Amino acid sequence: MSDDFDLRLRNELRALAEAVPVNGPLSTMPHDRSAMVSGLPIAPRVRARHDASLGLGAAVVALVLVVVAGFAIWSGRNAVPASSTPSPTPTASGCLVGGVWNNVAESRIQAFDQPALEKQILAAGGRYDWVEGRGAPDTQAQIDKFVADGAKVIVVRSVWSLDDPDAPAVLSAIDRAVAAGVAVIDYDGFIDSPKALLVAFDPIETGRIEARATLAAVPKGNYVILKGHPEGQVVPDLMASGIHEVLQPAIDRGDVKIVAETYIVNWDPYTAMEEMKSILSKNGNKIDAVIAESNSMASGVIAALEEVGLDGKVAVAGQGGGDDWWDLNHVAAGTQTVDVWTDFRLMGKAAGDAAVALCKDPDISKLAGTSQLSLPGHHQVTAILLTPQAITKDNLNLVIDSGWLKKDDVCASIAPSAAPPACR
Amino acid sequence: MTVTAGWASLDEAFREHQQWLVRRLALVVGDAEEARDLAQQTFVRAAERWPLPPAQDVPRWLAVVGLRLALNERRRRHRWGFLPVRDTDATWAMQVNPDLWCALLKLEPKVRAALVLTVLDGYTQDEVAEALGVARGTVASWLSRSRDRLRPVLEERVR
Repeated sequence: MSDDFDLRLRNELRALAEAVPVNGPLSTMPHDRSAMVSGLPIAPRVRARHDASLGLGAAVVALVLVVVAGFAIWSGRNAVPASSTPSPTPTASGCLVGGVWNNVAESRIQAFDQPALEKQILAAGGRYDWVEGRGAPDTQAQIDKFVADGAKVIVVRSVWSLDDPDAPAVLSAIDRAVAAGVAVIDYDGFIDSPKALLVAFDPIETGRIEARATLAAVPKGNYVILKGHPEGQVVPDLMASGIHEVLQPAIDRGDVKIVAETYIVNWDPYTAMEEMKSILSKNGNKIDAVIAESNSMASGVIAALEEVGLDGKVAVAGQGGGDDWWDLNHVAAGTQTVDVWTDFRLMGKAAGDAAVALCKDPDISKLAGTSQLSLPGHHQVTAILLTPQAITKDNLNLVIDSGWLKKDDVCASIAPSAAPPACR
Repeated sequence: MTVTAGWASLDEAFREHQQWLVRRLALVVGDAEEARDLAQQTFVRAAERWPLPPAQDVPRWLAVVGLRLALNERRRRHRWGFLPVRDTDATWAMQVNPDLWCALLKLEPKVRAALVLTVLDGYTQDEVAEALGVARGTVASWLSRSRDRLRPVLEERVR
C-alpha cells in the first residue's frame, strides 16, 4: 500500500508543481479567501491580542490563526536598540491603536517593525491590536472596522501601487477615519493621502547619502544610475532626485558623466544584472561607479561586474540596510562601496511615538517633528522622515554591534588579509 | 575565466533550470511570486560564482541555494522592492488540489522542502540532510510525519 501512496503523492505533487505560474503575470487577489489556510512562507500568521475585551473578532476571525509558537518567536525578537527606551510616563492611557499590516509575510515586519511600534504604545499605557491586511480591497474595511471599534490611531502599511484600482477606496476609508477624529499613520507606504501621516526613511536623503558616499570614493568618472520600478511608486523618483542633487555640481564641473540612467522593472536583481551587462558592453567597460536604488539591484550589478573582472574596481552603491547579510557581505568584501542602512526598528519606534502623540490629539498638522513631502505627480503629504545610516567597510561594526546581523554572516568568506576592521 | 563561454552557459542553465526551480520553490514557500523572486536571487548568486566548479551538479547547486534562501528567516523582500500586488492566495494550487495544498501548507516550509526534494526529485534522505544542513534522522522524521499527515487527505480524495 505504501507504494501506492508514494506514487499518488508524487503524481499529485507533480500536478501542483506543473500548475505553478512560472512566468505568468501577477494574478489579481480574489476577494473571498475565508477558507484559505495561510500560505505565508516565513512567519506563521500571528495575531496578538493584548486585550481580549476589544471585540474586534467577528469580521476578522476568518483571517486569524493564533499560533502560540509563532507568538513566542515574535515576542522573543523584540529587539529594539537600547537607545529607544520609552518614556516611563504613561501618556496614552487606554488609547487603542490599530495596525493593518499588508504583506506581513515579510519576516522583518514581525521581527523588527511591529515589536518596536508596539513597545512604544504599550509603554505609554496604550493598547495595540492588529490585523493582517490582504491588499487594498480589504484594507478599507479593516480601517472602517478599527474606527467602529474605537481606535484613536490606525497604522496602515500598504504594499499596493499608487495606480492600483482599489487605491481610491482606501483613500476614502482614510478620509472617513480622519473625519471621525481618528488619526491614520501611513507606515512606509507613500499612500497618496494628505490626511495620513507618513512615517518612513527619507527617500531623498537616502539618495543623497548613496551619491555622497559614491562621490567620495569616485570623485571623477562615468556613472550609472539604476532606479526602481517605473510605475505606480514614487520612491524611485524621490531617491533619484536626491542622487541628482548631490551629483549635479560634479556633473557641472565635468567631473562626473552619467552614461546610463534607467528604471528596473520590479527592482529585479536579474534584470539589473542583464541591464548592467548591456551598459558595460555599450561603454567598452568604461564605468567607474554605479548607484543602484536597492541592494537587490546592486547585487545584480556586482554579478555583472564580476564577469568582466571589474568587481571591487567599480564603486557600487545600494540601500536596504542589509535586508540580507549577503549585501553587507559585499561591503565587507569590497565589491559594494556603500549600503544605506534603514534600521526598521527605528521606523517602528518613530511610528509608535507618533501614535502615542496622536492619541492625545489626532491632528497631524500639530504634531512636532514633521515635514512636508511632495510625492511626484501626486499630493504633498505630512511626514516624519528618518535619516538612514551609510554603511561602508569602515563602520560595518555598527550593524554587527547593534544586533542587526551576525559577524559570521557579514564577514563570511573574507580573507583575513583583506578583512575590514569589523571582520578582524 | 572565459567571459563569453561563462555567460552562454549561464544563460543556458537559466533556460534549462529556471522553471524547474520556480516550481519547487513555489511548493516550499507557498507563493509563486515569492518563488520567482527567490529563483531570480538564486541565479544572481549563481552568476557571482559562475562558472561553478566542473564537479558541481548545477541543478543541485541551484536547489540548495534557492531552498536555503527560501528557508532563511533573515531574508526579506527588499524595502521598496515590492511588487504592487501579491499572489499569495495561490489560486493555481487551489484549482488543482485544494485539500492537498492546504495540508501541505500546514507543514513547516523546511518539511515541504524535504518532501519535494525526495518525492519529486528523487534525492536521498542523506542528500536532503546535507542540502538543508540537518541530521539525516531529522529528515527521516520529517518525512514520516508529513506522510502521516498527507495520507488521509490523499486517500480520501481517491474514494
